[in-house]
Amino acid sequence: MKKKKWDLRSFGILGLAVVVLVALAILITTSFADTKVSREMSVKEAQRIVDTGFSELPKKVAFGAVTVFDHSKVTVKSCDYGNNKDVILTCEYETIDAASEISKNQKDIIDNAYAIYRREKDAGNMMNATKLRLAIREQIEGYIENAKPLSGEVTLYLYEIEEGKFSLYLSDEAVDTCFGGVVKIGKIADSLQTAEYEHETVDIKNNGTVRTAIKDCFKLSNYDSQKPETGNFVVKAWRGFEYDFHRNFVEDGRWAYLVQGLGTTLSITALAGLMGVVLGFLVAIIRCTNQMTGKLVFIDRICQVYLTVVRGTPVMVQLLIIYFVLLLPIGVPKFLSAVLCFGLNSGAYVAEIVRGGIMSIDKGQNEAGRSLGFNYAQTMVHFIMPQAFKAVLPALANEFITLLKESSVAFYIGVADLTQGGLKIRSLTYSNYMPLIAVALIYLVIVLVLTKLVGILERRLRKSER
Amino acid sequence: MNGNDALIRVSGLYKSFGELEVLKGIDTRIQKGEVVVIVGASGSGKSTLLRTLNLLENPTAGSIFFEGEEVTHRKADVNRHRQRMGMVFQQFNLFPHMTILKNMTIGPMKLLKKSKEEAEKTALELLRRVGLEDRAGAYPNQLSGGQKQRVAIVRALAMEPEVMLFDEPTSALDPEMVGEVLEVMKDLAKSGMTMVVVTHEMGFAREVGTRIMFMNEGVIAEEAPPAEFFGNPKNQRLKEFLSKVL
Repeated sequence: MKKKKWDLRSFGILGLAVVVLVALAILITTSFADTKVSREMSVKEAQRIVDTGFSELPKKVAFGAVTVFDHSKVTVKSCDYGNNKDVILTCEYETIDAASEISKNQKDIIDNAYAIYRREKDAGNMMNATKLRLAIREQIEGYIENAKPLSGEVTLYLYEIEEGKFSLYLSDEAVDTCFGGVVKIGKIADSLQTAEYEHETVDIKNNGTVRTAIKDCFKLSNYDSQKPETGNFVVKAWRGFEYDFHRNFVEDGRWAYLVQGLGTTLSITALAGLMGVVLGFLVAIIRCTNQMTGKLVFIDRICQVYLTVVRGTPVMVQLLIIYFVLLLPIGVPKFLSAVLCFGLNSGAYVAEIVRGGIMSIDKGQNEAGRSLGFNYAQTMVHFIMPQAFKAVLPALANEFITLLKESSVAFYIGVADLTQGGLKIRSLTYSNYMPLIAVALIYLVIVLVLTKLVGILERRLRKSER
Repeated sequence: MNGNDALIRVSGLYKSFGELEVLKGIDTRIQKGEVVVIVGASGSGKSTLLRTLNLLENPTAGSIFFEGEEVTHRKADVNRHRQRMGMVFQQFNLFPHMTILKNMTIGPMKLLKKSKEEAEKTALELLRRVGLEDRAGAYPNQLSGGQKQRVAIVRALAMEPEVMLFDEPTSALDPEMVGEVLEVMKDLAKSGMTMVVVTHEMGFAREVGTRIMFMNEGVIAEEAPPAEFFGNPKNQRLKEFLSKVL
């Protein structure tokens, strides 16, 4: 008993802390285990992925057109492992600068051939047209095949979208290096599927559409990788976390969805909360006045109907009705509709809380006020309401917190709130864990902060009575 | 006793709570400077009578006149009437969210339109009279029951009423605190304040009361000056009552 601080209670707390920590560790590791991202990859492995990408390229890019992409060749020299998002491939490339290979003379020949093809096609001789087109293609290929390829070094990135699925990412720089020298004959239309042969040269370097099209081609799917399982459990989990975190929040500035969503959620909650408090107090005062003086019978009835309807139906149904049935037809925006709905909803609960608070104040307080000569309203304002307010403050705060959480159903009418922000990220990255947990954590933090603030306020109010 | 210049005149007063008839025809007059003590068994209607005087309860029938003016009239200004009639409750009913000083000044400031300085000056003077000057900044919960009741009395006095009503002012107090409250009430009576007091303190009734009223089953069964009331009670029920409480 010398060290009093190590009594049974301390051990209890310590034990609890250990249990919590272990539970947390298990939760975290099991949560990340399923991402199983391992970027230990051999050069051979990387080469296979790159080849797959390049072999798919011409089919995709140039449906029915002539392309020189077939002649670009990329050889992986080494793989490095990026800090958080990717496998960095150092590659050699070979490509053909068609612009310099095709002479003026050759271009004229193609021009003529194309003019004939066009005539045949317009005349409806599809057999002939097709033959001509293939001939033109062969001709161009012939010109290029003899060309001396350009070569150099380029860096590419490999992403693992999910287990076994890779995306080969070409930066603008990589596109320019690998394909920048190429003059493509045949136009890549905006839509790859409908690309129609056009006799035209395209400068890839300065053509955004083509550049995008090339990048698009490297989203490889279902690539069956054989990843060696190396690195210990914790390292892998941490890498997975970093990778997921980066992809969900950092990449393309996706965090902004959450920040903007949070702003919207807070605005809705604040405005609806304000409306709820005003409405709630009003209804509570009307109902109490009716109860205590027997006046305002008609308004009291209306209030009762309001309370019954609002408290008797789910808030989501109210939201859908208020927006789609009542407000959308008269052109009220979503945000405002959400504020009105949650304000109305909250008002009903606040009203009952406040009414309870007023009724809980000793009858003697009312009599004391009245016996001094204050009228009913003055007594309410000076004596009953301040005490009632203090009494219901914790309940009001809880109602406000409920409102904050409930406002998440606003996404049903398409309000871009915090929940919606998380869902948006989820739809972009196909990951569930990160965006949803992030949304939950943000809600939790706000609720904790609010709870703390209310605690401080309560303590301060209580002080005034001591 | 000229009935017309009675400060309070009650005539044919009836009060029912639903089926229960509590006051069954009360007629009485209270002159300025009188200290009327109302006694009686619980349920006899004495508190109800007191509460009806400043219209905390609305009479079912009958009328009350204050300085010749009918306050039970439909168009009478009830709030003004109550300002002139201070009330002290069994449960003190101080406002717990206000300091003692604020408890005492809010009425004069809001209703009598006194300035803050003036109201506070009066309040502090009154507090000095009851020996609680140093508690002006305290909150009611920091006071003992006796202190609370003394504050409640001076809070009512701050409104400069013409009559003070006391509804069992010592019943909720610990026995050792009863004395200090009765002392204040005695001083008040000496100063000439008209008082109507519902109490079980027979000593106080005998010593301070100018007239004692015995209520039984909703009517005034007997009323007399203390000497006669205690020395020569006529009503049978009063005799029984006195034999129990004395």
